[in-house]
Amino acid sequence: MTSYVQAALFLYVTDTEELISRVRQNAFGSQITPVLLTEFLNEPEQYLQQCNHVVIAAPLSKIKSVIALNMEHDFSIGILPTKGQKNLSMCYDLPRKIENSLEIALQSDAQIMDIILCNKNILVFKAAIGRLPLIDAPSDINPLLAVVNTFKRFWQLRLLPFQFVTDSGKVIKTAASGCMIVQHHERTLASRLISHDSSLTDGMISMVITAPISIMDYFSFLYQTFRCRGQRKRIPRTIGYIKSSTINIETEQPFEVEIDGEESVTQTPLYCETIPRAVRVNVGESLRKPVTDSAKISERIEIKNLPAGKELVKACKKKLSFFSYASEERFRDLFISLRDDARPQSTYLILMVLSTMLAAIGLYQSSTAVVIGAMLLAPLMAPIVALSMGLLRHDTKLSSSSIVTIVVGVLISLTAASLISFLFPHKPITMEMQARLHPSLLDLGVAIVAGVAGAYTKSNKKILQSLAGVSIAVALVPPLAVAGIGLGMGDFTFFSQAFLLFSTNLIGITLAATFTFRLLGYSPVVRDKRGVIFIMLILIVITIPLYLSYNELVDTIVLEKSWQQERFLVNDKYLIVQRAEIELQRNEKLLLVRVLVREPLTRKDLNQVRKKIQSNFPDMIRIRMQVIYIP
Amino acid sequence: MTKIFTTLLTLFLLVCLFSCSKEQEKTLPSGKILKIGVIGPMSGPDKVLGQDCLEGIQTVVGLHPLLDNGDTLELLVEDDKNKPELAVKAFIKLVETDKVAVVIVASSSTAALAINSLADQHKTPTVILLASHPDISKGTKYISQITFDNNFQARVAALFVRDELLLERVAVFMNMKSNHSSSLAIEFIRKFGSIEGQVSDVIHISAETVDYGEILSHLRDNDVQLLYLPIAAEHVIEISKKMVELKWTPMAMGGDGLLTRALAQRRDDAHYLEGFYTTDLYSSDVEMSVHGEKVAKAFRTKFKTRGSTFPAIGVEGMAILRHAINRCDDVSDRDCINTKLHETVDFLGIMGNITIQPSGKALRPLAVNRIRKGQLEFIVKVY
Repeated sequence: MTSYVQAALFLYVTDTEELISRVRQNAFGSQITPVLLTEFLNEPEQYLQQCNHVVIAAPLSKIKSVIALNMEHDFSIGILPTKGQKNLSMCYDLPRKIENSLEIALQSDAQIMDIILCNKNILVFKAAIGRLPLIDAPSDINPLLAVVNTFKRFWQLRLLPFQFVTDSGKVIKTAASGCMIVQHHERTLASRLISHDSSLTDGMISMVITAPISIMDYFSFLYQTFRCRGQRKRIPRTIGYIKSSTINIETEQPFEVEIDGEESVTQTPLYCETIPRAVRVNVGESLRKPVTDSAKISERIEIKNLPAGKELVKACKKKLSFFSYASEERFRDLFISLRDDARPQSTYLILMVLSTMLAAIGLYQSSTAVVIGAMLLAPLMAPIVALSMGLLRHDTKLSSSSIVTIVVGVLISLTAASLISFLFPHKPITMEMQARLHPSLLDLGVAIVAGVAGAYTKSNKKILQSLAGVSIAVALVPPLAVAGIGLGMGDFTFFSQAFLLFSTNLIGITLAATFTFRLLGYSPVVRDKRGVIFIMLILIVITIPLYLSYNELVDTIVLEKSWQQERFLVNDKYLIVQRAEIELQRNEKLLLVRVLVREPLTRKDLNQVRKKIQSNFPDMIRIRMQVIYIP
Repeated sequence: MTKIFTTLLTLFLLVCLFSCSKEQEKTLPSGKILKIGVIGPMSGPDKVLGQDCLEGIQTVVGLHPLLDNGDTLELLVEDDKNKPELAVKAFIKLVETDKVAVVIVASSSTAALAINSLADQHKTPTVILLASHPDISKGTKYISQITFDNNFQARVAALFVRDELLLERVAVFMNMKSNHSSSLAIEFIRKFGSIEGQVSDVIHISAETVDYGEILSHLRDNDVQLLYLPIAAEHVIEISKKMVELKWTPMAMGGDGLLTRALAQRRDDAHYLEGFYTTDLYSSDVEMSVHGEKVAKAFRTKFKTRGSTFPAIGVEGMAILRHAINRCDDVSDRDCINTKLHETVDFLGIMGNITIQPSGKALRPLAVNRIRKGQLEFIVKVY
């Protein structure tokens, strides 16, 4: 059951004098003595002898004076937030209406709270240093206002060197755009980013450090901030978090410190300390918690997302780049894995032989399932992705090792497929083989998307199993196997077309993966520009036949479709084209056409049809017609 | 030395580049003129035929005003109001007085048939653009027909109705006073009957026929599935209006130029033709040949309109004629022009190849369309 104080002083200023009668006539049976705040501050002992609870309605700076007194005298404080004190009411979870806040203000169970002092200044809800990306805004900020502020602050963002020293003496040197100390952070956007393990009585200071190292990072961080509704388990990439009973903040140049929305209160260096259980304040229901034994609370430092080491120097030197970058230390596991992939190990060689053999047999069988099995078995994707990273970071060792592995793999594959082709006395050209003899721009599209997917999958351990899907999509080994079969048959056209498809995949994946790694922040720039330009030149060269092939493909599809609307009147017999297919055989177009007709066709009729087709479609040198008689 | 060599090489390459990109040397005017006569209805109710065809002819002459030998083409236009007697007078004037080398006729079948014997008498190559009567080139050496003839058109219509729409009971409207209408109707009836179709009714219309209500009620009662309407556009619209009144919606099919004439003569009522099938030389939505695209662009620039069937055939007729004249050593040699016209093989028209047979008849594909929102929606092309 809620109990209320029997008597209380009502501390007012001229602006809040009008509240006296309403406070006096409270419905909770509390005896109210109104006192002008200045008088109370002059002689607090005199008034506190009368009663040990005060209700205050005044500006924040005056409230802070009373809080400071509270640290010396034993009394409790009830606060009536006035108009324009939205932050204050949110901070203490107080209702905005006087009637409701008065009820809380007169309750007798005040919450014991810590107080944070920053360079001896009382901090009620937050202190901001530097340029923060909107995390100090209230959590219920108008989205439009948020967008405007986002862009406004975006132009000012820059990383500067900071040094933080915690109570345990841990020194943290990093680069950050700013930091924010939060007392009761539940109502700020920052609260969406860090876990709510702080309390009013834990004797700790919570500090959020922001360090977006690129423009992409900045926007991604803001997106995460706004998207996240519940508590986060992990701190976002650009955020650091320190929780300690004291924090000393130093910067190269002095920074103005904004405390509780008041600008330039003090400057860095800033020493912040907690005064445990310093005051008793009546707060809203959500903030009422049992007193924590501060001895049990340990210091918490989460700074792995902040620039350190070489990154720190780079971050401080440069303006915010568009894409983020990362040090090798941060992605050690990935780099180890890539170096491993780049080496021509025995497993790689064995798998190359096996996958090629499987692919070749599958191609002869025209079995899609077997060919897919070969795709899954093929290990060629790994060194290609490693080559991309090598090019991006100009890691010559990684690049050359990957190139050697790829070349060895290709040679093994061609040899294995050629040998297999010798084993088969009959050499059918199956549909599965034919499908790999007409590469077009669409194949380049597949390779590019697969390259993006490959790099993305490789960089994210959680989805590594998706790499198999990427291998199927891009299908590196089957074209190689077809090329090898072409070599075995001594058919250069066969070999060159299939090898063109393989080259398309190789070039497409390499370039796409390079730029994907770049977007994912593995390097601030593409470092091996010469290497990438060389690959791009090859891409341009292979794009020409791919483009021509694509055009031919489109023309064929359009023509095949349009043929369904063609009719022939031959010697008074009406021929309806039901289906038409165009096949390219040895650079000659073969038209396979199926016609429906009601009367029997003579050889003379067929001859006339052929003449009509060849007269109107000069490309159709060879025609094969299937005639279906309908009753 | 290296610098000089590099500069010279660059200059040489630039010169090569420019010379390669230049078009072939342009023909210089010879100062001579080759006269070409154009006869067609430039006034009166059928003026759309003559005027539109003339615009097509002018588009080609605008694109290529000179022949390959540098002679300038000059067009002399005579109005025949689509009347046979005026067409004859115009022909004689152009040949005897104006001494034209060739005559192009943009009149319909009745007027064109009147010129038939004159072409041979005056040994003047005559290019017939629109008239599709099967007898246009009969018994003469000097006529070249650019459009397909009505026999082909009517047979395709009958076969399409029977074999693609799978309809077996039709009624045919015909105007015996119109050579075009009667030839189409007669051939349709013959062909449709020969492929196990039933022509339940043949309705002869004339200028006096005003009330179609009774006729259509009778046809409805007779379970007619399709109306074949190779008659004037204004009559087709009246019939369609009456069908709407009767709430009877059988399928209907018209002949070539139906939509173009309807839009020219009765634009406000053209929507009554919505859903009608037609046989035509062109379609609104079929991809044009490269030549067709070029000419269509020139036409749009010159006349600020999209063009239709009539200007298109004017373009093709003039292009074929120009091609034939250019192949003669003496461009004013009428016999040579006529021979070359009849030797036209697989000439790339706006939507397909055109061959002029020795008989003077054209072999060219025909499009079956359906009228949708004032356009000819392509259904099938028949070769």
